[in-house]
Amino acid sequence: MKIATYLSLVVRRVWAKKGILFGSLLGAILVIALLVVVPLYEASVLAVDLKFSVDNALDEQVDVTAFTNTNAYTATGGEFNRTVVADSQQRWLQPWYPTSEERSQTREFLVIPSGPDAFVDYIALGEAWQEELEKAIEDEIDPAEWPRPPYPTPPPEATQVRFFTSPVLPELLAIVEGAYVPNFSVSTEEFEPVQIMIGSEVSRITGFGVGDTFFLRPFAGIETVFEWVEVAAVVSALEPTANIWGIDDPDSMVYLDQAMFDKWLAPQPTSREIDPWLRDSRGFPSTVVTQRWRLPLDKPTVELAGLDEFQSRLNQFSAQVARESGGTIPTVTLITILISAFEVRSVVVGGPILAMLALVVGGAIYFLVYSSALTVEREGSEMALLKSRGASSGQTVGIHLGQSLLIAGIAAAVSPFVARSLVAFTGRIPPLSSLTGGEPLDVAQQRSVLPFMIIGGILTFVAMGVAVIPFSRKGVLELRSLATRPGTKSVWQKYNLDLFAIALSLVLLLQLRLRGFVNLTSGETTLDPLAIIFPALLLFTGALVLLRLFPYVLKFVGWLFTKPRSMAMALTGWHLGRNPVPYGRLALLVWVTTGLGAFALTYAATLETSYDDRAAFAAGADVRIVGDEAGYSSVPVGSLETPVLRTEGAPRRSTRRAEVLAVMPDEFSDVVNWRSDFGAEDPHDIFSLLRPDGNAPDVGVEIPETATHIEVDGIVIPVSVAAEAAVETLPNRNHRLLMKVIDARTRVWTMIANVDFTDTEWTIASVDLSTGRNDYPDPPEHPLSIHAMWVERSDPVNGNVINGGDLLLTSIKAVGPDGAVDLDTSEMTPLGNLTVSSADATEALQARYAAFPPGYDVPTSAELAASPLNRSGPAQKWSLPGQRTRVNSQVPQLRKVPDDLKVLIDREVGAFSGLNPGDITSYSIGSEIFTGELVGYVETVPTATDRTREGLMVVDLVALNAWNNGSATWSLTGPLGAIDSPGELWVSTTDPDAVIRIAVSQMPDEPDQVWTVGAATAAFSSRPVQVGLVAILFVGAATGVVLALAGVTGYVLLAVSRRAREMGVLRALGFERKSVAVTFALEQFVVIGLGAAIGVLGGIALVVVMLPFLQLGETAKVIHPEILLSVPGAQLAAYVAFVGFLLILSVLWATRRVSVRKMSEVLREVDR
Amino acid sequence: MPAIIDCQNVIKIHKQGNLEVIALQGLDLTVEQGEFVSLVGASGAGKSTLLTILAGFEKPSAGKAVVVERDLSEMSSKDLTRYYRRDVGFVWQDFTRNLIPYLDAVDNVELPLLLGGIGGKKRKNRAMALLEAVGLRGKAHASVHTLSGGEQQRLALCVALAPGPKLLLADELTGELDTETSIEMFNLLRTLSHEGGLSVLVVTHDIAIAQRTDRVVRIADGRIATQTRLGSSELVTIDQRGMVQLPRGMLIESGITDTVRVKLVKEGILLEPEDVADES
Repeated sequence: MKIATYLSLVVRRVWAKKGILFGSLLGAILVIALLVVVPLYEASVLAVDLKFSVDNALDEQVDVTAFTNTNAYTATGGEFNRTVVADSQQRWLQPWYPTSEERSQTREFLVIPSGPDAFVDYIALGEAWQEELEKAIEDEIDPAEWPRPPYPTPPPEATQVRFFTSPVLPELLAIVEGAYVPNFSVSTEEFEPVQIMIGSEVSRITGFGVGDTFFLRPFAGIETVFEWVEVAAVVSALEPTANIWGIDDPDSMVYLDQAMFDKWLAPQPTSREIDPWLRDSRGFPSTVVTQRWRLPLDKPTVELAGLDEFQSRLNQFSAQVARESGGTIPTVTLITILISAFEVRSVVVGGPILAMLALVVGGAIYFLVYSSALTVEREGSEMALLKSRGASSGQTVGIHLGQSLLIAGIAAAVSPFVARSLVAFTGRIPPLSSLTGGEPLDVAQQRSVLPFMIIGGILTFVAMGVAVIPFSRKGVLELRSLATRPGTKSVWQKYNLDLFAIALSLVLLLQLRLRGFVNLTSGETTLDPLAIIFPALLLFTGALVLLRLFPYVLKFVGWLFTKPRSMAMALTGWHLGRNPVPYGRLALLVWVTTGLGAFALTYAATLETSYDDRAAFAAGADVRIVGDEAGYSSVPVGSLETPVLRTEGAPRRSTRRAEVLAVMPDEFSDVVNWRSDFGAEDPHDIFSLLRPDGNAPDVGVEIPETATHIEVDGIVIPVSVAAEAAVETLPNRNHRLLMKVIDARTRVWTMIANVDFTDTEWTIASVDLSTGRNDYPDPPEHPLSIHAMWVERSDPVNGNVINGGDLLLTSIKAVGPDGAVDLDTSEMTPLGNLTVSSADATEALQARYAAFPPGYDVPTSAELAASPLNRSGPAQKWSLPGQRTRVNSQVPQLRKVPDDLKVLIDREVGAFSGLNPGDITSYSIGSEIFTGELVGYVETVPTATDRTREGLMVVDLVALNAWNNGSATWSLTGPLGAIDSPGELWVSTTDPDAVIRIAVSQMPDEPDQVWTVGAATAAFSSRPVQVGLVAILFVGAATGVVLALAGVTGYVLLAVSRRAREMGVLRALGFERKSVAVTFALEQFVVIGLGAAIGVLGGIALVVVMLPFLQLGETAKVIHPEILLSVPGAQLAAYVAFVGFLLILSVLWATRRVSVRKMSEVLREVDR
Repeated sequence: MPAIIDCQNVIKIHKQGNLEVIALQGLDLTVEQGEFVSLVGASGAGKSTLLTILAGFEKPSAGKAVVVERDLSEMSSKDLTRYYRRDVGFVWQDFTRNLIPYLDAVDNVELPLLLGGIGGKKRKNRAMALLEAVGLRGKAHASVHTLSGGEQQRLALCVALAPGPKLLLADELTGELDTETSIEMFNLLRTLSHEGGLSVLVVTHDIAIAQRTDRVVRIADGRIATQTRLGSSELVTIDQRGMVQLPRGMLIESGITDTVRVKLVKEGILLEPEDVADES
């Protein structure tokens, strides 16, 4: 056949069938466009992601820092270092890091006030010392006896400052007072102070202003190294948050111009004639100086295309700096980590997207095959005719293939533009618009689309062309019958290829489960190619299963339809039951369409929910503040806070340590971001197990709310007169009463009585409940409980040594405006060899006068009655053991021994420990060992993601606190024992900013971390990218709907024309036109309805299969909490309703086209 | 003259599920070159089956069907293509199926020539000549759907005749046509047959039309029952096994039921009902 004629025939054929082939063209364009999206995604979306990652990264994450510590800083050395860094930067990093900021900083110096107005005038002392020295020399005193020079000595609370300088220092500082000090020389004629500038905060703390002088000396160094300085200016940073300041507060430092810095950080000559301490040199030699260069990244210069070179140059830069500096200047940058994380993310995040694209492409290819099969069926007569006219199989097939080639060619030519527009458009819509600023996505790297375009073209050509192959060998009569009697069995079923595909899918699924979706072992993160095609394969397999099973379903439905007394339904039922196979393909098309939509919606919802869950999980609560004593902060009214202590522990002293959270069960349950799969629907159900009776653990003797003091009346039982006389000096036997009091916020206070118990008289020792030795920012908060009481020797000379002894206490009262209330301490237990017994108060007097030395005047009864020792009535006698010191581990004390800890553990910990609820065993938590009872299981708790721990334990904070911090410690004169304070404050609030502001202000230091759900959400840089890419999926799904409409309409039209005569017969039998239409439409509705229902379920099932993909976070590590399927019911229903509506419209339209035809015309209709 | 069609004991069994239907049961038929034969018979007699076998669309289950000296049951797919291109033309009953709707009249005629590899000018000339012959030259470039039923059928005839086949097979060629047009069509075929040496075998229900052919062959129950040559009386066919199928009307009229007495008489063979006294 002549090519031109052949082509002409093909073109005319295409034009004649343009209606049905337009659908194929759309499908082909979709397939190729989606394939082309892959390189565009790489080139554009990833580029935006990279830009977003870099733009949003903190400067600390992207800048390059080089630094060196020099013990003996000199100007020459500093300049050498400067040159090394600058040369390396110039050679390797100039395009990305065009500038450099240099700063030099010393270690701490101590401010030593001096002068006539100060406590010590070291200049005057120095001059006086010189005179003394001269005199000693004159007196020829042994040099060893000469007076020591009065070098400036820092006071105990000396202010600490650091010297700071930079080549651009004048540009960094604003002068508050005085004038900037450039390089200047100090007089060699007289001793002059060095002119320095001080930060405004230093000025505020020290009270120094311009003209004031003081001494500065290094925190550590030889005693002759110090310098007299004068404040020439008080300065403040022009930009306190500028990067050059690093983590330092610029107002808390002192400054020298770079030249001055270079000069004074090296020895400067002076002379004994003018130096008050007779030194030969002055300045701050041998001071450790840190020279630091920060190279700020010019962020727009980091581009995807040059990423490899950028990384390579960074390495070269580091290598050159290290080489030329002899290894003394290390360089640091976190951008390599950022890029590495980006590359991992591009794989991990890109994986599901590619898989989804494969899915949509698979769906579209199915449409192509489907519509081509329909076309071929319709072409049966024509093919038969051609054959009967002498067309060979090759020619018959060739015409169809030519037609497919033409469509594929047009689609391939158009698709890149479609894909480009698609990708560009995603830049305009949220969430990608947040990265692009609403501008279209800059689509780059056009050339790379070529292979994808070619592959797509081939794929679509094959998909469309393959349909004709089964028909190529059919005879004329078989071809003629195609249009009227479509095949009843697909090739898949004929050769059981569907069973093979199912088996293959199962094997793949097993393999993927074993291997994981992402390969992390080779050092480079790569995606398993199987993972990409697996969902599409699953969809395909599902389709085959549907094709096999659907006829049976339809037969059943058909049988059901024959039951009612409706002729239309009965006819529908008969038809469905009689010939169910061809409907399978229509159902499959609907299935693919609704399945894709359901998949896209469910996937997007699951993704969104997952991000929300992850943010909620990472934050733990609306606000979580982590830092020293964070848990003791309180929050504004309207918010709910709870302290949390995080530590580690294990049951039975296992070597496998679990993460331990100590919480206030009720409050924690109210505050925590909970999810029902963490162990219970309501967190109260789990955490209330820690308090079986609903009450907080009893941590001691409760003090009435109104009490302001605890008063204890007592006396140290004196030694007898005889014993006293036997020793030369009786040691001080006074004892101070101390208490551990726990307040409402679990803070353990160490409170001390105002006076000592003595052995000379009965004393009421009063403990002020409004304060303690701890430095918590606000007073104790009621309700208070006395957890422990003990006594210590108050003698600061001897420390807390107690040589034993006995005390009598007659009453322990809580005293307040409402009066005094006796406190019952019977629930407290004596520990540490303390013996508490009942006694009579008279014992003090009796002990004193139990024995007399010879010649002693025995007191009379009246004298005894008047004695301050005299007291009668019941008393509590404390017998203290002998020979204890403060190094003894346990202080003799009266303590409320806490109950056994109630412990919740996760099942893994439970399993490896062999523990079951109700078991009591020992637990090590922190550094302590407790007895605990396992009360239940908890699967996970937000924020408990410490992968270095193997499992999770949750205990009651009050109980743990009492165990951990409640034990008495020698503390009268020494430091308090360490308190395990809850380092986290979890808050439920609607005003996170206010909570953070107020809570942080109560903390002793800046918090280590502040978490909010919003900030945690924003931290997922992949979110807009991933969600944006899902938008592309939606476009695919929407196109799928259009294709489905085309397909369904085509199918219905074909089915209608196939059965035109049947309809005519029905009309001739007396069926109304409407009934005929209803009969026909009913069939299609049943098929579409079933297809849609199965499609929705299939789509959701597919998301379930995809969940392992999502389970990998940006860093390819398993994310927490586990991702749960989120089915957006309302959206799904709306989508199905919309698609259903469109499909029903298309069915009605097609049905109407036939039902309105004249009966005579229809009856005359012969197979077309 | 050589036989263009030579069918001997052709049997065709159609399988429909588990059911076997014998469409042809030992049919014998010979058609000479240039002969114009019509095939008549009741519905289901096997006319169309015979035609599709002769067209090569399906193969006989048994027996021998030789057309243009080619045994159809032994033809390969390639042989069949050559057969379609050179030897046989076929006109379907539904005239719309004979034409490609998106091609115009002349293109439809050219199509088989194109498939046969005939070059442009020669192809065009032959197509136009054929259209001229059937009176459609004026509508050479008309779309198929603008032609009337008769014109479409004439066009279909042109398409079938385009490659210059030796045999034309037509199924209900005039089924959709009025009598006058049908007669015109048959006259045309007669001319082509007698003057061009084209053998024609047409299936028809219309006895009046059939009688305008050289020979009317009646098929009943998958066998040739009778044949009537133009201008002579109807003859009963005796097949190779000596089997005869008698017209039912004649049997009823003669009172012959299930058995018959056969006598050899001077004029031939006499069939008598059983109840007639045996004179021998």
